[in-house]
Parts: sequence; C-alpha cells; structure tokens
Amino acid sequence: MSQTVSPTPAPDTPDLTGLTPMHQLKTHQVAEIKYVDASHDDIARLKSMGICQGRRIQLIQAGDPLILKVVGVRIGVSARLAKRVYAEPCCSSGKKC
Amino acid sequence: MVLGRSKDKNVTSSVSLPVVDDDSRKPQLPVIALVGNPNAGKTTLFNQFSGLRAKTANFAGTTIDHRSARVKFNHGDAELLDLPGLYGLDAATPEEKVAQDVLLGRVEGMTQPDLVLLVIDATNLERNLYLAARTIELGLPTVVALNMWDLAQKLPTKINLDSLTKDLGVPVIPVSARTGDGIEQLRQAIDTSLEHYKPAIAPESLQECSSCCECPYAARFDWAEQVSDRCGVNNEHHTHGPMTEAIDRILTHPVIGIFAFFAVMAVVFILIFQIATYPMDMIEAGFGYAGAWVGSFLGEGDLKSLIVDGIIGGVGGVLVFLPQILILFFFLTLLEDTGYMARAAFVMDRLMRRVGLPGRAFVPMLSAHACAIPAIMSTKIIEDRRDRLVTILVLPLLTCSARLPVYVMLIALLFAGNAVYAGLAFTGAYSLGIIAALVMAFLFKKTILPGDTRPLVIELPSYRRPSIKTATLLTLDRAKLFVKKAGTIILVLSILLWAASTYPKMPEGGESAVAQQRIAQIEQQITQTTDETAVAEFNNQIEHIQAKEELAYSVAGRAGKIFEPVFRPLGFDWQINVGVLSSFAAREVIVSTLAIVYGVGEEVAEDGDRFAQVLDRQTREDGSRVFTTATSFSLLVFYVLAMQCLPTQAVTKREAGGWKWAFFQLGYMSVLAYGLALITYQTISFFS
Repeated sequence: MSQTVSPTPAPDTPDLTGLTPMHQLKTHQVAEIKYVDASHDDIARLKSMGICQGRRIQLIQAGDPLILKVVGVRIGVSARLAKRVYAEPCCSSGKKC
Repeated sequence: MVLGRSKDKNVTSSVSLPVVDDDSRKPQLPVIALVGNPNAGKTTLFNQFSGLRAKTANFAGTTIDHRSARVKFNHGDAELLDLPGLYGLDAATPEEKVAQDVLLGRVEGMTQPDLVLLVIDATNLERNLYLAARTIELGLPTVVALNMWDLAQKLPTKINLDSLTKDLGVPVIPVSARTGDGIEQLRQAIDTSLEHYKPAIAPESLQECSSCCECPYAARFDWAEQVSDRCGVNNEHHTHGPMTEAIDRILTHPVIGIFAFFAVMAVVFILIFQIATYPMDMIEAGFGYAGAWVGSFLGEGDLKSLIVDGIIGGVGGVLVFLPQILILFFFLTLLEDTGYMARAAFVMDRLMRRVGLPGRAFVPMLSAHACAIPAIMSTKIIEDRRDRLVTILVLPLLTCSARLPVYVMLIALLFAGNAVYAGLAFTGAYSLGIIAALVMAFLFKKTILPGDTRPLVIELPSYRRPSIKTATLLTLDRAKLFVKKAGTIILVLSILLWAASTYPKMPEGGESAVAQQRIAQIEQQITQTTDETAVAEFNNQIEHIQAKEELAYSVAGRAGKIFEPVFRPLGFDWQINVGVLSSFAAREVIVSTLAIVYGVGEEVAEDGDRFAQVLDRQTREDGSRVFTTATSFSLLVFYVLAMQCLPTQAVTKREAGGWKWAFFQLGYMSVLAYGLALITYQTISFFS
C-alpha cells in the first residue's frame, strides 16, 4: 500500500514523547489522540469515524483487531492501523483529559 | 426512473428553483436524498414513506443498486432516494463513493438532489453530527429527521430541540421510524422545504470548521461536541447499554466469538435448508404442472419441446433455487439489522487475514454455500478493490445448492448403502471447495492482485431488535431483481441449450446399428406379450433409446464425441462429456442429461440411489464399467471445482467490472477442475 504524506501540513518528525500508540493502551484506559499517521485512504476512514486529533478514546478490548470507544461508538480497528495512532493517556479516573 | 433536472453538473443549490431539462419533455420529479450514518435507521424511515412502492435500480455507470420510491406530498410527488450509509464525505467503499457523488451532483444523468433528508440517531447525537456538518455545508435544502426519538427519551439526558435546531440552522423533526411517530410532521417539513427551496446555510460556528486549516476533521468533531453539549447531551451517557457490552464480551471474544459465529451461521443454514424445502417443492410442482398444462394445448413437435422442455423446464430448474437465496438474504438482513454482522466481520478478520482476505469477505463466502450470485452481489461491503476482486474470483468454488443434486448422484454411485462413507464424501466435497477457495485467494493475493488487506475499521453498533418489515421489503425487492436479471439470462440460455441438444434432427431411421438392433429386439418382445404394463415398459425403453440417439445426433452429442480426447484422461466417456458440456450453463443439468444419455426416466433420476444403480450398470463399448471408482471420484472433484454456471459469470462481469474477470474466473476454475480431476483419476486408477 502506498505511503502518502498526510495532506495537512505536519512537522516531518512529530514529537511523540509521552505518547502511546493506541494498541498499547491498557484495557479501559482513556487517552486523547495527539497524532495520526497512516496511509491516505485509511486516515480519512479513521478520521471520519472520529479517530482524529483531539478526540478522547477508550480501549475496550485489546488484541488484534482491538475495540475502542470514540464519540460514544465502539469501533473495531486492526492493530496494524491502531499502532499508527498516538495518544496521550489521561488520568486514571478518565473523566477529564 | 425520472431523475435530474438539468444536465449542468455545476448547478449549485442556490441557483434557482427546480428547472426542467430543455431537451426533455418528461415531467421531472424533485429528488429527495436520504442521507445518514450506517445504523441511523435510514432504511426503516425509507420504508415508512415508500411501503411496497419501492423499486431497486443501479446508479448509472455503477454496479451499486439503490432503492427509490415515488412519494406523495401535498404540493406534488417526489422521488425519494435511499443512499448507502455514510460516515462523512471521504468515501472508503464503492457504496459510500456513489452516495457522495449523488450528493455532489457527480453521477451521470443526475443532478444534485433538491432536498437532503438527513437521518440522525438521537441516541448518539455527537457521532452523527459530524456527517450533519458535512451535509449542511453542501448548502442544499436540508431537513433533519432526529430518529430513535423514543429511545432517546429513555436516556438520562434529554435533547434540547430548540438549541439543536438553532445550531444546525435547518428544520429538525423528532421521529421514530420504527413506530412511525413523528412521520406526519416530517412529511409536512419536507413539503414546506420543497415548496420554498431554502438552501441550508451553515451556521457561523460550522463555517469556521471548513476554513480551519489545522485538521478539518478535528474541527468538525469539536463542533459536534459543542453542539451536543449545548443541547444538553452528555456523550458519556450516550453510549452502548450494559446489554450490548455484556453480549459483546462473548461475541467479540477472540475464541468464543468464532465458535459463536459458526453456531449462528449453522442455525441460519439449517433454517434455510429446512424452510426452503416447502416453497422449492411447490415451485417444482408448479412448473411441472405448467409444463403439462401448456403442453396439452400444443401438438407434438419442436414448438412443444421448446416451450415445455426448453423454456418452462429450464427456467423452472433455476428458479427452484430462489427460495433458498431469498431466505438466506432475509436472515442475513435480519442479522445485519441486529448489529451482529459487524461482530462477525470483526472476529473473522484475524482468521481471514492469513489468506489475504478481510473479515468482511466471510459473509459472502458463507452466502456462496447457498448460491454464488447473491454472494458476489454482497461483496460490495468490502472496501478495497483488490480484496473485493479476489473474493469474487474464489466465491464460485464454494459448494452451492445447485451442486447438491450432482453430489447426491455421484456419492450414491460411490458409496451406495454406506451412510458413514457417504457423509464423509459430502464433507470432503464441501471441504475441497473451501480449501480451494482459501488457497486460490492466497495465491491471487501473492501474484496477480498483490497488496496487503485493507486494515479493519468497523463500527460495532448497539444491538437492537431487527425489523421483520424492513427485512421482508428488502427481500421482496431482491426477489424482483433476481427474477428480472437472472430470469432473462436463464431464459436465453435455456433456449440455446435446448436448441443444442435438439438440432440437427435425426432423420427417420438414423439410429446407430446397435440401437436399431436393440429396438428391434424390444419390438419383438412386445409382440410376444399381452401384458399391458409390460408393453408400456417396453415402449418406454424404445423411447429412451430414441432420445439417447437423438441427443447423440445433436450438436451437444457431437460435441461430446469431439471432446472425448480432452476428457479421456479424466476417465469420462462421450456420454459423460455430453453431461459436462450441457451443464456448462447450469451444473445441475448434468443429472437430467445423464438421465437421458443413459436412458432412465425422470422419476428414477430424482431418486439418487435408484439412479446410481442404473449408472453403475453402464458399460463402455469394450464392456468395462463406465462409472468406476476412479471416474466417479474424478467427476465429483470436477464438479466441486468447475465453474459450470453462466448466470454467476454474468454477475461476476457486472460486479468485477468487465468480461475480462469473468473469463479469467472461468479459465482458472476450468484449469483447476481439470487438473485436480486428472490427478484424482490417474492416482486412483494407478492404485486400483
């Protein structure tokens, strides 16, 4: 699959310090998405389903594919894609990011 | 269908009221496009408006079908168009692409809709508002149907309708498509909007999103969150109920989920085969009766033969599978409606990926065990073109119902009276089909259609009670489509096949010397008996011999002899070849052809065991048995793997986008069937 650069101007090397790839989140952990890196088609698919910068996600079931909750919906996502989504884990209560 | 007002693709919503094509004298109906997220209840709402008036058609230049209906409003009729579900306007699947193209006025022969009826799931407002943002930004007149209002009322937080209407800038009508509540108000709102043609103007807060250069997705989701907050909905409460979560712990479990999936499918298939028996018997009896009735008005001759055997018999032979196809479709629609199918794709993804196919390919693969035609039609849910093509290519390898009569005949021949071996042979034939499909899929992904499977992204919607009405209406539509599409192809094929096995006509006394001698013997026996039953039986035998001789003289019979050198290494004689060739268009035809070739009546052919006994007695000219173990196994393997179904090929052409793929499918399946049948025959012959 061709690797297309994200259409939005993004820094060449994003600062991923403190971020966890989505597939490595703990079950039920809440996190805020900070950076999405995927091939062009899949970026659009993920993003129009709400997996985009600034959204809070919760990992419901780990594994491959994994299940996460975003904007009130459960979405099954292949780990291959999930590991391209970087998120910042929130405090354990999960109330506020 | 009458669609579109103007051929000008660039016409924008703000230009004018609906105008009529200069070159078209037909009255044009205003078009209402039904837009919404998958699972927002779009189809249920469509059915509320359309009832039984819906029709199914393809979008121009695509293989995507859609339902539309002419709906009465106070100011006049309008065409309601049920578009495929959308998440946004960034199409991933061909279905989403066409829905998006309709909204943007990019479909040939259609202009932008006159009104967008946007269906929003009130139980998950924030999620649905993203699509609402994208749709309202199009600037077309828009009316929002806030669906599942009854369910939303039961949630702890209530939606403030005034605030929502203000934020969206378009009329918002709470409805329940399931119960019909609010439909009348929605009808009035549509009426008013059609009358005044008021384009949607995106509220200021939303306009900022489209001009935002950071991330337009994030900006719109932020907007959705704010709108949702303002109308009093806290998203944390608007999630799946505990019921969905509990069921999902089982159904999406990596191990239990797979067992659950097979259990669900086993139940569906048992039901299909159980329930379908009755309508199938009725169809068979109906066509038999129709044939006899029509035949009674026609004198003996070619016309009677054409109508009774060719047309009525041929079409009836294929339509008999319609109940199975429709019951399958009905159950799959019900399962889809409950939300289970998304879970099935989710759990199967891990397994299917290993052969290079997405999880979504599994449902078509299961459907193909009833019939490859609806299975190929349902591959549209697979996003990636290569994944979809590979799935289409391998689907006809799976054992469909039309293969069953052939399996019954051959397995009875091989293991008459041994139920265990017969059962194992059935399992073996099914398994061979499945293994061949998976191996070929793997090979195609490694060679002609290389590339990774598209990663899975699938919404797992809340479970809900399915609507029998929706499933019934969709199934009826599907039935009409199948009868119309497959029916016309089958009609033509039936006539061609009939002609090939009837012409050229054998001249009087044109039977072979052996046949003439046999007829003379029987005629002599007739003169020696006075028993009427025996005479009738002898006359029957003469008729069978003549039918066989006529077939041998026809194009089909001659072709069987021409192909003898080709099929000899597989253990087939010219008579089996006639069966193979005549069943080129529909595989089950081999049973009735062999019945003619080996001179047995139809009632015997339908009884697997009795027919097998007759076949078992057949000898070649050198006196050896025709149906040896090696030949029977070779023929069985051949029928598991050979294409032998022209209607499927027509559907492949349509769905894969060209005859190239249909021919490729025919080619590779023929090579595979021939190769494995050859290996089977030669191996068994060597050892026995």
